Amino acid sequence: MLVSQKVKRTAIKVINYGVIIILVSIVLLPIFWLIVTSFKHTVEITARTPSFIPKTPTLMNYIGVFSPEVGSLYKTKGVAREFLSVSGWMGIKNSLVVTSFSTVLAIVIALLAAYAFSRLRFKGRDGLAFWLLSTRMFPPAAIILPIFLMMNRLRLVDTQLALIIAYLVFNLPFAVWMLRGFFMEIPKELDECAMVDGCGHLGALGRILLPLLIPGIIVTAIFCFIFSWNEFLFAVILTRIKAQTFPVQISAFLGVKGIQWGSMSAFGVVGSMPSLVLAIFAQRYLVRGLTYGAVKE
Amino acid sequence: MVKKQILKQVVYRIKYKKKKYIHFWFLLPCFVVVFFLIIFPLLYSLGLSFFSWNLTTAYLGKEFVGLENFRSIFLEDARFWRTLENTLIMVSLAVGMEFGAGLGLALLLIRQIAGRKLFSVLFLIPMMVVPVVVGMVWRLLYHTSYGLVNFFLRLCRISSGVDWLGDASAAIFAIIIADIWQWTPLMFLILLGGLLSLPKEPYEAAQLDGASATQIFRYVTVPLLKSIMAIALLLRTIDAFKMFDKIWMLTQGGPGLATENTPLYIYYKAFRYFDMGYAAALSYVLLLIVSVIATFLLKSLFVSTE
Repeated sequence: MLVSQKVKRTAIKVINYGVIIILVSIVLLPIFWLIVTSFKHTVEITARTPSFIPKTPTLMNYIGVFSPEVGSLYKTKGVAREFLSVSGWMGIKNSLVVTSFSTVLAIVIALLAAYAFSRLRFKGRDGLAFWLLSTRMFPPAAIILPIFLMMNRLRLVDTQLALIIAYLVFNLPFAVWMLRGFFMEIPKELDECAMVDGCGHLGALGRILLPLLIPGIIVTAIFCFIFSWNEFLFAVILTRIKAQTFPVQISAFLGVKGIQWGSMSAFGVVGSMPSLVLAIFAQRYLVRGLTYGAVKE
Repeated sequence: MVKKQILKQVVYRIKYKKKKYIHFWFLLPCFVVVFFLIIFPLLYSLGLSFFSWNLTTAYLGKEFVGLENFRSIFLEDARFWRTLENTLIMVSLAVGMEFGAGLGLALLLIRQIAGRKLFSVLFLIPMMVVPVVVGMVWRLLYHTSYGLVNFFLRLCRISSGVDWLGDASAAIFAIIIADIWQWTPLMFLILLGGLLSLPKEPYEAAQLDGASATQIFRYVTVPLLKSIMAIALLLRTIDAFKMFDKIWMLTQGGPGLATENTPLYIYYKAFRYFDMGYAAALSYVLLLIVSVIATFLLKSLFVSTE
């Protein structure tokens, strides 16, 4: 009886682990395939029997995407050649600029607002904070049209500035909400003491709260960074050529006859790195960020 | 004691009496941005939805047409209904499967202590890959002749190959599968976090009473996990309504209208046909549909945080 129970228990454990390992490999297979493809020659990519390890590994795809003469790789004609004869650095660089500026801007503005939402007392405070968060849920389609017309009027279409501003649409409400949560975890007595000692609101915020809030700020900033880095809809509408971010630039590979899978994969691997690394860095807070603070681990 | 009370009064005076409207200054930058980027666009969009305004015939200007756009959407626009149907199919199937798979995985991993952390990190990867890249990878995987999916189908002798993205009935499932691949991990992580935070006592009590595993799940886990389940479901639902980048990369809405969802339709109306008034009206219809769901979401958020 006891022995059979023991056998049963180990069997369950083995099955459990087996299922988990199978699932993990299914989950990781597309990523693995992306990386493998980025090291293959085109002939090997389009072979009918796929090879799981590149037979003749090559770095050509990586070099090609990031070299200035990439235009020849795209094999485009006419106007389109000028359009694409830029290296992948352009997209990465634009993404970096847009994402970091938008993140910093969102955090600074949100810090002030979050302070008010957590420390000051006024009518309709929580309702207002909730409303702000709820704007994060709107389908961007509803506001993208006027924003495009606005940017068009201001002649900002296809500039980094347009995206920096536009990304506040989703970064600001998110940052306010997250930082409000982090503020509320710091005991009120701390800044109240500072104020008794003669600090003003800004003094209490800058000298007492800010140092304690640094981890929260970093986590919030990481999420803003990831959201903006991955964003596609705003980027595709508000950019044409020179302000294209990474997602838009990589999507442009599809418009070309005979998709260059190798270069596209290499570009995809490089462009996915920033958000992936940051996400692993902020892993502990991942669920909290992605559920807008509703679930705290 | 007295000292403490005096202290409190002093604090109160500094904070709320002397500068009664201080919060205004702290909120000002935020609400200037919110006004120009959210409130004004929403109002402008609403106004625009009562006009007929096509940028290709911009010399005609805007023409006030009242509710004509909405009437046309609901009564005449077969394409809108098709895209709404597609959206609802994608949202319900994808979110449903993600929830089921995520819950199953969470229940599987909750029992395993060793290696749980590592598995969680591995599961985290898909949802952090740029969605456009996810679309790209799956497009390669779905390729009719050299895609990995068809290779496995041939290997197992299930089928000689499916034209995943070219076949009208397969394409929508292709997109749903890619979405499930990316977002099941989020469901899993949220639910695992929820399961780990549950108190142990109810389980011990249930076991003492001789409840079976399914009974424990049904009568202990589900009620305790309800609010977190609601959050996970509603967050994903709202997000799935916005799906754009993946469809763009995989099919661009094709073949025909087989995979076109409402956001994509709005995009085409606005930026391919330049029918701005109609697109604005469409976006308001979508906004209303999602708002109903968002209200549910915020209510459940309220319950769980307060």
